[in-house]
Amino acid sequence: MAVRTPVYWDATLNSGSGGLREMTTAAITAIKTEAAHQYGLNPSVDLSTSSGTLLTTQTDNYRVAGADSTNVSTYVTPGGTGTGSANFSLYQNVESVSAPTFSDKEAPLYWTGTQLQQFSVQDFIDTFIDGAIDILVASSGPGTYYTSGLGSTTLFVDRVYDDARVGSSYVSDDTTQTVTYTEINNTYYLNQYAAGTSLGFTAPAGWDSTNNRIQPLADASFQSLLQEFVRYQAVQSSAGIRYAWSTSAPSGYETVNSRGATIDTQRSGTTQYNQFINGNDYRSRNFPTGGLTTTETITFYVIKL
Amino acid sequence: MAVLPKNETPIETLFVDDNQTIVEVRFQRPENHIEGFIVHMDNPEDEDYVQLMKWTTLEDLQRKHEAANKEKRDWQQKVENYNVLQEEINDLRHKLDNKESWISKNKGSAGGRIKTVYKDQDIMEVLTKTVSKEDLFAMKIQIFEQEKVRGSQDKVAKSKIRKAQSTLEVLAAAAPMLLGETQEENSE
Repeated sequence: MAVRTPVYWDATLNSGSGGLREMTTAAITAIKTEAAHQYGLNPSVDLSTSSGTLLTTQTDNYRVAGADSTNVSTYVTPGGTGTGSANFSLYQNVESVSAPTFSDKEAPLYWTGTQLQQFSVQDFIDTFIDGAIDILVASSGPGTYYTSGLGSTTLFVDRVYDDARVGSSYVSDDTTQTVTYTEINNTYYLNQYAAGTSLGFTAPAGWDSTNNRIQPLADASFQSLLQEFVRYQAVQSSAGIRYAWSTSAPSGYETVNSRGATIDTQRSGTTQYNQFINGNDYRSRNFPTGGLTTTETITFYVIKL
Repeated sequence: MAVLPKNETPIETLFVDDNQTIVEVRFQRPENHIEGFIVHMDNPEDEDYVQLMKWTTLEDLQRKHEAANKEKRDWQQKVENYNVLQEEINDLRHKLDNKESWISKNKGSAGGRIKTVYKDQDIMEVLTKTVSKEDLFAMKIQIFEQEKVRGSQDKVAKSKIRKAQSTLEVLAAAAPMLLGETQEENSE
Protein backbone atom coordinates (compact mmCIF):
# COMPACT_ATOMS: atom_id res chain seq x y z
CA MET A 1 0.00 0.00 0.00
CA ALA A 2 1.47 3.28 -1.10
CA VAL A 3 -0.04 6.16 0.83
CA ARG A 4 1.16 9.49 -0.60
CA THR A 5 1.02 13.01 0.72
CA PRO A 6 -0.49 15.15 -2.05
CA VAL A 7 0.42 18.78 -2.60
CA TYR A 8 -2.03 21.62 -3.00
CA TRP A 9 -1.78 25.27 -3.98
CA ASP A 10 -1.50 27.44 -0.87
CA ALA A 11 -2.19 31.03 -1.89
CA THR A 12 -0.89 32.37 1.44
CA LEU A 13 2.69 31.26 0.85
CA ASN A 14 5.46 33.52 -0.38
CA SER A 15 3.91 36.71 0.93
CA GLY A 16 0.67 36.07 -0.92
CA SER A 17 2.26 34.96 -4.19
CA GLY A 18 1.27 31.37 -3.40
CA GLY A 19 3.09 28.07 -3.64
CA LEU A 20 2.78 24.30 -3.41
CA ARG A 21 2.44 22.75 0.00
CA GLU A 22 1.98 19.19 1.27
CA MET A 23 -1.44 18.42 2.69
CA THR A 24 -1.90 17.89 6.39
CA THR A 25 -3.44 14.70 7.77
CA ALA A 26 -6.60 16.67 8.51
CA ALA A 27 -6.83 17.83 4.89
CA ILE A 28 -6.43 14.25 3.64
CA THR A 29 -9.10 13.07 6.10
CA ALA A 30 -11.42 15.77 4.74
CA ILE A 31 -10.97 14.25 1.27
CA LYS A 32 -11.72 10.74 2.64
CA THR A 33 -14.86 12.10 4.29
CA GLU A 34 -15.87 13.76 1.02
CA ALA A 35 -15.36 10.44 -0.77
CA ALA A 36 -17.68 8.75 1.74
CA HIS A 37 -20.23 11.50 1.16
CA GLN A 38 -19.93 10.95 -2.58
CA TYR A 39 -20.59 7.23 -2.08
CA GLY A 40 -23.74 8.09 -0.15
CA LEU A 41 -24.99 10.03 -3.17
CA ASN A 42 -24.64 6.98 -5.42
CA PRO A 43 -23.91 3.68 -3.63
CA SER A 44 -22.66 0.74 -5.68
CA VAL A 45 -23.49 -2.09 -3.23
CA ASP A 46 -27.24 -2.18 -2.75
CA LEU A 47 -29.76 -4.27 -0.86
CA SER A 48 -33.27 -5.24 -1.81
CA THR A 49 -36.04 -7.25 -0.17
CA SER A 50 -37.33 -8.52 -3.51
CA SER A 51 -34.58 -9.07 -6.10
CA GLY A 52 -30.88 -9.66 -6.55
CA THR A 53 -28.48 -12.25 -5.20
CA LEU A 54 -30.03 -13.93 -2.17
CA LEU A 55 -28.11 -12.96 0.92
CA THR A 56 -30.12 -14.54 3.73
CA THR A 57 -33.63 -15.62 4.60
CA GLN A 58 -35.13 -15.21 8.03
CA THR A 59 -38.20 -17.22 8.92
CA ASP A 60 -41.01 -15.70 10.91
CA ASN A 61 -42.28 -18.61 12.97
CA TYR A 62 -45.63 -18.26 14.65
CA ARG A 63 -48.08 -20.59 16.35
CA VAL A 64 -51.71 -21.00 15.41
CA ALA A 65 -54.69 -22.42 17.29
CA GLY A 66 -55.34 -26.14 16.93
CA ALA A 67 -58.39 -27.77 15.44
CA ASP A 68 -61.60 -28.07 17.46
CA SER A 69 -62.47 -31.26 19.19
CA THR A 70 -66.18 -32.09 19.36
CA ASN A 71 -68.04 -34.64 21.48
CA VAL A 72 -71.71 -35.46 22.14
CA SER A 73 -71.52 -35.64 25.93
CA THR A 74 -68.41 -33.98 27.32
CA TYR A 75 -65.44 -31.78 26.53
CA VAL A 76 -62.56 -33.87 25.21
CA THR A 77 -58.93 -32.91 24.84
CA PRO A 78 -58.42 -31.12 21.52
CA GLY A 79 -55.41 -31.52 19.27
CA GLY A 80 -52.30 -29.47 19.87
CA THR A 81 -51.70 -26.00 18.53
CA GLY A 82 -50.30 -25.65 15.03
CA THR A 83 -47.40 -23.77 13.54
CA GLY A 84 -46.93 -21.28 10.78
CA SER A 85 -43.94 -19.84 9.00
CA ALA A 86 -43.08 -17.33 6.32
CA ASN A 87 -39.68 -16.46 4.90
CA PHE A 88 -38.39 -12.92 4.57
CA SER A 89 -35.47 -12.66 2.18
CA LEU A 90 -32.74 -10.08 1.70
CA TYR A 91 -30.91 -9.71 -1.57
CA GLN A 92 -27.59 -8.00 -2.36
CA ASN A 93 -26.82 -6.26 -5.62
CA VAL A 94 -23.19 -5.45 -6.39
CA GLU A 95 -23.07 -3.12 -9.34
CA SER A 96 -20.64 -3.54 -12.20
CA VAL A 97 -18.32 -0.55 -12.00
CA SER A 98 -15.56 0.05 -14.55
CA ALA A 99 -12.01 0.49 -13.32
CA PRO A 100 -11.32 4.23 -12.99
CA THR A 101 -8.53 6.00 -14.87
CA PHE A 102 -7.07 9.48 -14.67
CA SER A 103 -7.68 11.95 -17.43
CA ASP A 104 -5.82 15.24 -17.78
CA LYS A 105 -5.20 17.13 -14.51
CA GLU A 106 -6.94 14.51 -12.41
CA ALA A 107 -3.95 12.70 -10.92
CA PRO A 108 -2.84 14.53 -7.78
CA LEU A 109 0.84 15.41 -7.42
CA TYR A 110 3.10 14.50 -4.51
CA TRP A 111 6.69 15.41 -3.61
CA THR A 112 9.07 12.45 -3.71
CA GLY A 113 11.86 14.36 -1.98
CA THR A 114 13.52 15.21 -5.22
CA GLN A 115 10.68 15.86 -7.64
CA LEU A 116 6.93 16.16 -8.11
CA GLN A 117 5.27 12.89 -9.11
CA GLN A 118 1.72 12.04 -10.24
CA PHE A 119 -0.39 9.63 -8.18
CA SER A 120 -1.01 6.24 -9.73
CA VAL A 121 -4.57 4.86 -9.61
CA GLN A 122 -3.49 2.58 -6.76
CA ASP A 123 -1.90 5.53 -4.92
CA PHE A 124 -5.23 7.34 -5.13
CA ILE A 125 -7.07 4.33 -3.74
CA ASP A 126 -4.54 3.78 -0.98
CA THR A 127 -4.39 7.43 0.03
CA PHE A 128 -8.06 8.46 -0.12
CA ILE A 129 -10.46 5.67 -0.98
CA ASP A 130 -9.43 2.93 1.41
CA GLY A 131 -9.95 5.36 4.29
CA ALA A 132 -13.31 6.33 2.82
CA ILE A 133 -14.39 2.69 2.94
CA ASP A 134 -13.41 2.64 6.63
CA ILE A 135 -15.68 5.64 7.20
CA LEU A 136 -18.50 3.93 5.35
CA VAL A 137 -18.42 0.73 7.40
CA ALA A 138 -18.11 2.63 10.67
CA SER A 139 -21.30 3.86 12.30
CA SER A 140 -23.68 5.84 10.09
CA GLY A 141 -21.59 5.53 6.88
CA PRO A 142 -23.43 7.49 4.16
CA GLY A 143 -25.41 5.31 1.76
CA THR A 144 -24.87 2.14 3.76
CA TYR A 145 -27.66 0.08 5.24
CA TYR A 146 -28.96 -0.67 8.71
CA THR A 147 -32.09 -2.09 10.26
CA SER A 148 -34.32 -0.51 12.89
CA GLY A 149 -37.89 -0.33 14.07
CA LEU A 150 -38.67 2.72 11.95
CA GLY A 151 -38.68 3.14 8.20
CA SER A 152 -40.62 2.36 5.07
CA THR A 153 -38.96 -0.73 3.54
CA THR A 154 -39.99 -3.78 5.54
CA LEU A 155 -37.17 -6.24 6.15
CA PHE A 156 -38.78 -8.60 8.65
CA VAL A 157 -42.05 -8.84 10.50
CA ASP A 158 -42.31 -10.83 13.70
CA ARG A 159 -45.86 -12.04 14.19
CA VAL A 160 -47.39 -13.99 17.02
CA TYR A 161 -50.81 -15.47 17.67
CA ASP A 162 -53.26 -12.66 18.35
CA ASP A 163 -54.25 -12.65 22.00
CA ALA A 164 -57.50 -10.95 21.01
CA ARG A 165 -58.56 -14.17 19.28
CA VAL A 166 -58.35 -16.40 22.30
CA GLY A 167 -61.38 -17.68 24.15
CA SER A 168 -64.53 -19.74 23.90
CA SER A 169 -66.00 -17.49 21.20
CA TYR A 170 -63.20 -18.62 18.90
CA VAL A 171 -63.84 -22.29 19.52
CA SER A 172 -67.10 -22.79 17.69
CA ASP A 173 -66.33 -21.03 14.43
CA ASP A 174 -65.60 -24.07 12.33
CA THR A 175 -64.49 -27.51 13.29
CA THR A 176 -62.68 -28.01 10.01
CA GLN A 177 -60.47 -24.95 9.92
CA THR A 178 -57.38 -24.02 11.84
CA VAL A 179 -57.61 -20.61 13.48
CA THR A 180 -54.71 -18.64 12.01
CA TYR A 181 -55.09 -15.16 13.46
CA THR A 182 -51.74 -13.47 13.92
CA GLU A 183 -50.78 -10.01 15.01
CA ILE A 184 -47.61 -8.00 14.51
CA ASN A 185 -45.24 -8.05 17.44
CA ASN A 186 -42.44 -6.07 15.77
CA THR A 187 -41.65 -4.76 12.31
CA TYR A 188 -38.04 -4.27 11.28
CA TYR A 189 -37.17 -1.97 8.42
CA LEU A 190 -34.24 -1.78 6.03
CA ASN A 191 -32.84 1.74 5.98
CA GLN A 192 -29.94 3.62 4.40
CA TYR A 193 -27.97 6.35 6.10
CA ALA A 194 -28.40 9.64 4.30
CA ALA A 195 -25.55 11.08 2.23
CA GLY A 196 -25.67 14.26 4.27
CA THR A 197 -23.90 17.38 3.08
CA SER A 198 -20.34 17.99 1.97
CA LEU A 199 -18.16 19.14 4.84
CA GLY A 200 -15.69 20.83 2.54
CA PHE A 201 -12.23 19.88 1.32
CA THR A 202 -9.24 21.19 -0.61
CA ALA A 203 -8.56 19.60 -3.97
CA PRO A 204 -4.92 18.60 -4.53
CA ALA A 205 -2.84 20.04 -7.35
CA GLY A 206 -2.55 18.11 -10.62
CA TRP A 207 -0.55 18.38 -13.83
CA ASP A 208 -2.36 20.05 -16.74
CA SER A 209 -0.60 18.47 -19.70
CA THR A 210 -2.63 20.50 -22.18
CA ASN A 211 -1.24 23.79 -20.92
CA ASN A 212 1.90 22.37 -19.32
CA ARG A 213 1.17 23.75 -15.91
CA ILE A 214 0.34 22.72 -12.37
CA GLN A 215 -3.33 23.30 -11.60
CA PRO A 216 -5.81 21.97 -9.02
CA LEU A 217 -9.00 20.35 -10.25
CA ALA A 218 -12.24 22.22 -9.86
CA ASP A 219 -14.07 20.98 -6.74
CA ALA A 220 -16.96 19.47 -8.73
CA SER A 221 -14.55 17.57 -10.97
CA PHE A 222 -12.63 16.25 -7.99
CA GLN A 223 -15.90 15.18 -6.33
CA SER A 224 -16.86 13.24 -9.47
CA LEU A 225 -13.44 11.61 -9.44
CA LEU A 226 -13.86 10.59 -5.80
CA GLN A 227 -17.30 9.13 -6.47
CA GLU A 228 -16.00 7.12 -9.43
CA PHE A 229 -13.18 5.67 -7.33
CA VAL A 230 -15.17 4.94 -4.18
CA ARG A 231 -17.97 3.26 -6.12
CA TYR A 232 -15.34 1.11 -7.83
CA GLN A 233 -13.55 0.22 -4.60
CA ALA A 234 -16.81 -0.67 -2.79
CA VAL A 235 -17.61 -3.44 -5.27
CA GLN A 236 -14.14 -5.00 -5.10
CA SER A 237 -13.83 -8.41 -3.48
CA SER A 238 -10.86 -7.15 -1.51
CA ALA A 239 -11.38 -4.15 0.83
CA GLY A 240 -14.82 -3.56 -0.67
CA ILE A 241 -18.19 -3.33 1.10
CA ARG A 242 -20.64 -6.18 1.63
CA TYR A 243 -23.51 -6.99 3.99
CA ALA A 244 -24.45 -10.04 6.03
CA TRP A 245 -27.62 -10.93 7.94
CA SER A 246 -26.69 -13.85 10.12
CA THR A 247 -26.97 -15.41 13.55
CA SER A 248 -23.25 -14.88 14.26
CA ALA A 249 -20.69 -12.35 13.12
CA PRO A 250 -18.89 -13.30 9.88
CA SER A 251 -15.19 -13.90 10.38
CA GLY A 252 -12.08 -13.43 8.28
CA TYR A 253 -12.78 -9.86 7.21
CA GLU A 254 -10.99 -6.60 7.96
CA THR A 255 -14.03 -5.02 9.62
CA VAL A 256 -17.41 -6.40 10.68
CA ASN A 257 -19.86 -4.02 12.34
CA SER A 258 -23.38 -4.67 13.59
CA ARG A 259 -26.13 -2.56 12.12
CA GLY A 260 -29.09 -3.80 14.15
CA ALA A 261 -30.87 -7.09 14.64
CA THR A 262 -34.15 -8.76 13.77
CA ILE A 263 -35.81 -11.01 16.34
CA ASP A 264 -38.37 -13.74 15.85
CA THR A 265 -40.58 -14.59 18.83
CA GLN A 266 -43.46 -16.94 19.61
CA ARG A 267 -45.99 -17.34 22.37
CA SER A 268 -44.79 -19.85 24.91
CA GLY A 269 -47.97 -21.25 26.44
CA THR A 270 -51.10 -23.16 25.47
CA THR A 271 -54.59 -22.79 26.90
CA GLN A 272 -57.68 -24.89 26.20
CA TYR A 273 -61.06 -23.21 25.86
CA ASN A 274 -64.44 -24.92 25.67
CA GLN A 275 -67.68 -24.00 23.97
CA PHE A 276 -71.09 -25.52 24.71
CA ILE A 277 -73.00 -25.59 21.45
CA ASN A 278 -75.89 -27.79 22.57
CA GLY A 279 -76.53 -30.93 24.62
CA ASN A 280 -75.02 -33.03 21.87
CA ASP A 281 -72.07 -30.83 20.95
CA TYR A 282 -69.25 -29.99 23.33
CA ARG A 283 -66.27 -28.35 21.63
CA SER A 284 -62.76 -27.52 22.73
CA ARG A 285 -59.72 -25.91 21.15
CA ASN A 286 -56.15 -25.20 22.16
CA PHE A 287 -54.84 -21.65 21.74
CA PRO A 288 -51.27 -20.29 21.85
CA THR A 289 -51.15 -17.96 24.85
CA GLY A 290 -48.75 -16.43 27.31
CA GLY A 291 -45.55 -14.45 27.04
CA LEU A 292 -43.16 -14.26 24.12
CA THR A 293 -39.94 -16.22 23.84
CA THR A 294 -37.22 -15.56 21.29
CA THR A 295 -37.01 -18.14 18.54
CA GLU A 296 -34.14 -16.61 16.60
CA THR A 297 -32.09 -13.43 16.51
CA ILE A 298 -30.39 -12.45 13.28
CA THR A 299 -27.93 -9.58 13.27
CA PHE A 300 -27.42 -7.29 10.31
CA TYR A 301 -23.75 -6.63 9.55
CA VAL A 302 -21.77 -4.33 7.29
CA ILE A 303 -18.41 -5.69 6.25
CA LYS A 304 -15.17 -4.35 4.85
CA LEU A 305 -13.82 -7.32 2.94
CA MET B 1 -38.28 -14.11 -8.10
CA ALA B 2 -41.51 -16.11 -8.06
CA VAL B 3 -42.14 -18.28 -5.01
CA LEU B 4 -45.90 -18.91 -4.99
CA PRO B 5 -47.22 -22.42 -5.68
CA LYS B 6 -49.53 -21.95 -8.64
CA ASN B 7 -51.46 -25.22 -8.57
CA GLU B 8 -52.80 -24.89 -5.03
CA THR B 9 -55.44 -22.72 -3.46
CA PRO B 10 -54.37 -20.66 -0.45
CA ILE B 11 -56.40 -20.81 2.75
CA GLU B 12 -55.75 -17.18 3.48
CA THR B 13 -54.19 -14.02 2.04
CA LEU B 14 -53.46 -11.07 4.29
CA PHE B 15 -51.39 -7.92 4.54
CA VAL B 16 -48.48 -8.54 6.85
CA ASP B 17 -47.57 -4.94 7.63
CA ASP B 18 -49.58 -1.86 8.44
CA ASN B 19 -47.99 -0.05 5.50
CA GLN B 20 -49.70 -2.68 3.33
CA THR B 21 -46.57 -3.35 1.27
CA ILE B 22 -46.30 -7.10 1.92
CA VAL B 23 -48.87 -9.87 1.60
CA GLU B 24 -48.57 -13.33 3.11
CA VAL B 25 -50.22 -16.12 1.14
CA ARG B 26 -50.95 -19.08 3.43
CA PHE B 27 -51.28 -22.72 2.44
CA GLN B 28 -52.38 -25.55 4.70
CA ARG B 29 -49.73 -28.22 5.16
CA PRO B 30 -49.81 -31.54 7.06
CA GLU B 31 -49.61 -31.71 10.84
CA ASN B 32 -51.46 -28.44 11.28
CA HIS B 33 -48.70 -26.35 9.73
CA ILE B 34 -49.31 -23.17 7.77
CA GLU B 35 -46.75 -22.40 5.08
CA GLY B 36 -46.72 -18.73 4.22
CA PHE B 37 -45.20 -17.05 1.18
CA ILE B 38 -44.27 -13.38 1.17
CA VAL B 39 -45.24 -11.24 -1.82
CA HIS B 40 -43.94 -7.68 -2.10
CA MET B 41 -46.63 -5.42 -3.51
CA ASP B 42 -44.30 -2.90 -5.16
CA ASN B 43 -44.29 -4.34 -8.66
CA PRO B 44 -47.66 -5.14 -10.29
CA GLU B 45 -45.82 -6.92 -13.09
CA ASP B 46 -44.10 -9.33 -10.72
CA GLU B 47 -45.11 -12.94 -11.37
CA ASP B 48 -46.18 -13.52 -7.76
CA TYR B 49 -48.17 -10.26 -7.71
CA VAL B 50 -50.03 -11.34 -10.84
CA GLN B 51 -50.70 -14.79 -9.36
CA LEU B 52 -51.94 -13.28 -6.10
CA MET B 53 -54.43 -11.13 -7.95
CA LYS B 54 -55.95 -14.30 -9.39
CA TRP B 55 -56.88 -15.35 -5.84
CA THR B 56 -57.91 -12.03 -4.35
CA THR B 57 -58.10 -8.28 -4.96
CA LEU B 58 -56.42 -5.32 -3.34
CA GLU B 59 -59.81 -4.14 -2.11
CA ASP B 60 -60.47 -7.47 -0.44
CA LEU B 61 -57.03 -7.46 1.19
CA GLN B 62 -57.58 -3.94 2.49
CA ARG B 63 -61.08 -4.78 3.74
CA LYS B 64 -59.78 -7.80 5.67
CA HIS B 65 -56.86 -5.79 7.05
CA GLU B 66 -59.14 -3.01 8.30
CA ALA B 67 -61.63 -5.50 9.73
CA ALA B 68 -58.83 -7.27 11.62
CA ASN B 69 -57.51 -3.96 12.92
CA LYS B 70 -60.98 -2.92 14.04
CA GLU B 71 -61.51 -6.23 15.82
CA LYS B 72 -58.18 -5.75 17.57
CA ARG B 73 -59.05 -2.21 18.59
CA ASP B 74 -62.45 -3.33 19.91
CA TRP B 75 -60.78 -6.06 21.91
CA GLN B 76 -58.23 -3.62 23.31
CA GLN B 77 -61.06 -1.29 24.31
CA LYS B 78 -62.80 -4.17 26.06
CA VAL B 79 -59.57 -5.04 27.87
CA GLU B 80 -59.12 -1.40 28.84
CA ASN B 81 -62.70 -1.15 30.13
CA TYR B 82 -62.25 -4.39 32.02
CA ASN B 83 -59.01 -3.13 33.56
CA VAL B 84 -60.63 0.16 34.59
CA LEU B 85 -63.50 -1.76 36.17
CA GLN B 86 -61.07 -4.06 37.98
CA GLU B 87 -59.18 -1.03 39.31
CA GLU B 88 -62.39 0.47 40.62
CA ILE B 89 -63.38 -2.80 42.25
CA ASN B 90 -59.94 -3.16 43.80
CA ASP B 91 -60.07 0.42 45.02
CA LEU B 92 -63.45 -0.14 46.67
CA ARG B 93 -62.22 -3.39 48.22
CA HIS B 94 -59.18 -1.57 49.53
CA LYS B 95 -61.32 1.16 51.07
CA LEU B 96 -63.65 -1.38 52.56
CA ASP B 97 -60.74 -3.34 54.01
CA ASN B 98 -59.22 -0.17 55.42
CA LYS B 99 -62.48 0.93 56.94
CA GLU B 100 -63.05 -2.39 58.64
CA SER B 101 -59.55 -2.45 60.07
CA TRP B 102 -59.87 1.17 61.11
CA ILE B 103 -63.16 0.38 62.85
CA SER B 104 -61.76 -2.58 64.72
CA LYS B 105 -58.64 -0.59 65.65
CA ASN B 106 -60.59 2.36 67.01
CA LYS B 107 -63.35 0.51 68.82
CA GLY B 108 -62.63 0.88 72.50
CA SER B 109 -59.98 3.57 72.18
CA ALA B 110 -62.75 5.97 71.16
CA GLY B 111 -65.14 4.64 73.74
CA GLY B 112 -66.69 2.25 71.25
CA ARG B 113 -67.76 5.08 69.00
CA ILE B 114 -67.44 4.72 65.22
CA LYS B 115 -65.84 7.67 63.47
CA THR B 116 -66.65 8.55 59.87
CA VAL B 117 -63.84 8.66 57.33
CA TYR B 118 -64.32 10.29 53.90
CA LYS B 119 -60.77 10.04 52.57
CA ASP B 120 -60.37 10.10 48.78
CA GLN B 121 -64.08 10.56 48.16
CA ASP B 122 -65.89 13.18 46.11
CA ILE B 123 -66.82 15.79 48.68
CA MET B 124 -70.11 16.74 46.99
CA GLU B 125 -71.05 13.09 46.86
CA VAL B 126 -70.16 12.77 50.52
CA LEU B 127 -72.18 15.84 51.45
CA THR B 128 -75.33 14.96 49.58
CA LYS B 129 -75.55 11.19 49.72
CA THR B 130 -77.80 9.43 52.20
CA VAL B 131 -75.68 8.08 55.04
CA SER B 132 -76.58 5.47 57.59
CA LYS B 133 -77.99 6.52 60.95
CA GLU B 134 -74.87 5.17 62.61
CA ASP B 135 -72.56 7.25 60.43
CA LEU B 136 -74.70 10.35 60.88
CA PHE B 137 -74.74 9.86 64.64
CA ALA B 138 -70.98 9.34 64.73
CA MET B 139 -70.52 12.55 62.80
CA LYS B 140 -72.75 14.53 65.14
CA ILE B 141 -70.77 13.24 68.11
CA GLN B 142 -67.56 14.36 66.45
CA ILE B 143 -69.00 17.79 65.80
CA PHE B 144 -70.15 18.17 69.40
CA GLU B 145 -66.71 17.18 70.60
CA GLN B 146 -65.20 20.16 68.82
CA GLU B 147 -64.14 22.72 71.41
CA LYS B 148 -65.73 25.56 69.48
CA VAL B 149 -69.09 23.80 69.44
CA ARG B 150 -68.87 22.44 72.96
CA GLY B 151 -68.15 25.88 74.34
CA SER B 152 -70.88 27.59 72.36
CA GLN B 153 -74.08 28.80 74.05
CA ASP B 154 -76.03 28.72 70.78
CA LYS B 155 -78.76 26.24 71.73
CA VAL B 156 -80.71 26.74 68.50
CA ALA B 157 -77.70 25.76 66.40
CA LYS B 158 -76.96 22.76 68.59
CA SER B 159 -80.60 21.67 68.26
CA LYS B 160 -80.30 21.90 64.48
CA ILE B 161 -77.27 19.67 64.60
CA ARG B 162 -79.14 17.11 66.65
CA LYS B 163 -82.08 17.12 64.24
CA ALA B 164 -79.98 17.14 61.04
CA GLN B 165 -80.80 14.32 58.59
CA SER B 166 -77.74 14.57 56.34
CA THR B 167 -74.08 15.45 56.40
CA LEU B 168 -74.81 18.73 54.70
CA GLU B 169 -77.40 19.69 57.35
CA VAL B 170 -75.00 18.82 60.16
CA LEU B 171 -72.25 20.96 58.67
CA ALA B 172 -74.62 23.79 57.83
CA ALA B 173 -75.85 23.90 61.42
CA ALA B 174 -72.33 23.70 62.87
CA ALA B 175 -70.75 26.18 60.43
CA PRO B 176 -71.82 29.44 62.20
CA MET B 177 -70.22 28.27 65.44
CA LEU B 178 -67.05 26.95 63.82
CA LEU B 179 -66.60 29.76 61.31
CA GLY B 180 -67.65 32.51 63.71
CA GLU B 181 -64.90 31.70 66.16
CA THR B 182 -62.44 31.14 63.33
CA GLN B 183 -63.16 34.61 61.98
CA GLU B 184 -62.70 36.04 65.48
CA GLU B 185 -59.39 34.23 65.76
CA ASN B 186 -58.29 35.57 62.36
CA SER B 187 -59.25 39.10 63.31
CA GLU B 188 -57.27 39.02 66.52
